[in-house]
Amino acid sequence: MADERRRRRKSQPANTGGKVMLSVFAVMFVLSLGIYLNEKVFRFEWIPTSAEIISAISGGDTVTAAEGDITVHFIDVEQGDCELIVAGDTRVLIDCGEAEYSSRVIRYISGLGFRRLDYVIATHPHEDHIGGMADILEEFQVGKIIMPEIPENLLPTGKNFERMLDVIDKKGITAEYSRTGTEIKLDAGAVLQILAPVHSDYSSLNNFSIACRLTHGSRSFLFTGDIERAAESDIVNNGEYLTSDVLKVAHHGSTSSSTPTFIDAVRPQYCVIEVGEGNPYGHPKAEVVERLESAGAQVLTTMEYGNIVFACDGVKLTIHTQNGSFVDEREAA
Amino acid sequence: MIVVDRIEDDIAVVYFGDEKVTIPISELPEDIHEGCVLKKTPDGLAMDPEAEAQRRREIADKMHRIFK
Repeated sequence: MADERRRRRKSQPANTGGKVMLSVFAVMFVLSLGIYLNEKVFRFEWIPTSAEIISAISGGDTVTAAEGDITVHFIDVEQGDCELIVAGDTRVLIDCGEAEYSSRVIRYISGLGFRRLDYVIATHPHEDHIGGMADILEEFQVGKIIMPEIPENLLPTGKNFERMLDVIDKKGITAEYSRTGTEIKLDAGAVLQILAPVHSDYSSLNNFSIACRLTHGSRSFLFTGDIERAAESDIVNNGEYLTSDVLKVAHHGSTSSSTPTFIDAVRPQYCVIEVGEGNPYGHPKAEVVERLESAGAQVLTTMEYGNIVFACDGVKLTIHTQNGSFVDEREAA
Repeated sequence: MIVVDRIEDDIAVVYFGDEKVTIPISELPEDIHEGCVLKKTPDGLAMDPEAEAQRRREIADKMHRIFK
């Protein structure tokens, strides 16, 4: 009996260790289940998502704005477009790149602590702009999605566009065709105005791209999707005020776009080209970059700088880049 | 399904299901265009106009039902 009691006492510490391990696993399991259920069902903003946790652990670089400021994020999705506007509590996502980058975009937005997107603008349904949209719409609460009305003979036939439509339908997201001239009032006094498409009879899908201009105080940003020279010409001829501090260069710096007339009308200080290294199309084209620089703009590409973020208090613009090597020549001058 | 998503200058961006392949348009049928549905034949890729028309109709119906 005494031997047996001794054996039991000896084995006690091992049992305690096992119980501790079991308790830790049980707590982790409950936490994981809670996070999973919150992401899929409850969606409380105060509970972090798995993407936020991964982003925090991996030391994600995020830029947040002070009250009254806005931030405009050009999220690096290689050869594709993705922009996020954060104006106070209002968030607008413009495009999201190819499907293979949707988890990167989700991580980025979640890393900013957001679970809701008030507006999603799909500039036009090419894969490099909306390929990952089904995943984005599935992940976040979305107030409204806006897309241009495309004639049937130009509609894409790929499955990712259909997946996007299916998620909108399943989640009952408010879906509207863009109406040129519409002004969307954002928090912090910022306004986003839809400038294009101007006409409904273009022969190329790119020219149906939604173009929109964001103003905050005396500063402005112009987003252009993949508009080409015909749409650029129509926007200029439509007589809207186009001068903007920051231009999201159309169609990844292709020669199809950024005509001298359009650039003269915009007179940008900074031009952002969203483009992937080693892309087979030769974007951005050297002659386009030269044209933008000759017009006095400083050109930034996501290929060189990664994520590019502009913070704006309505007067001053501050630029942050993921690769940290950006020198603002305009500030230095 | 094999579809042409877009044409960048003289390069077509073709999706074989989820796989993206860039192909010079000189290697594709003469009337190749965005949204074109292709099928494999012994002579290479050929356009499938009936499948394309049906696909466009399906997607247009869905889009107009959802978007206002």
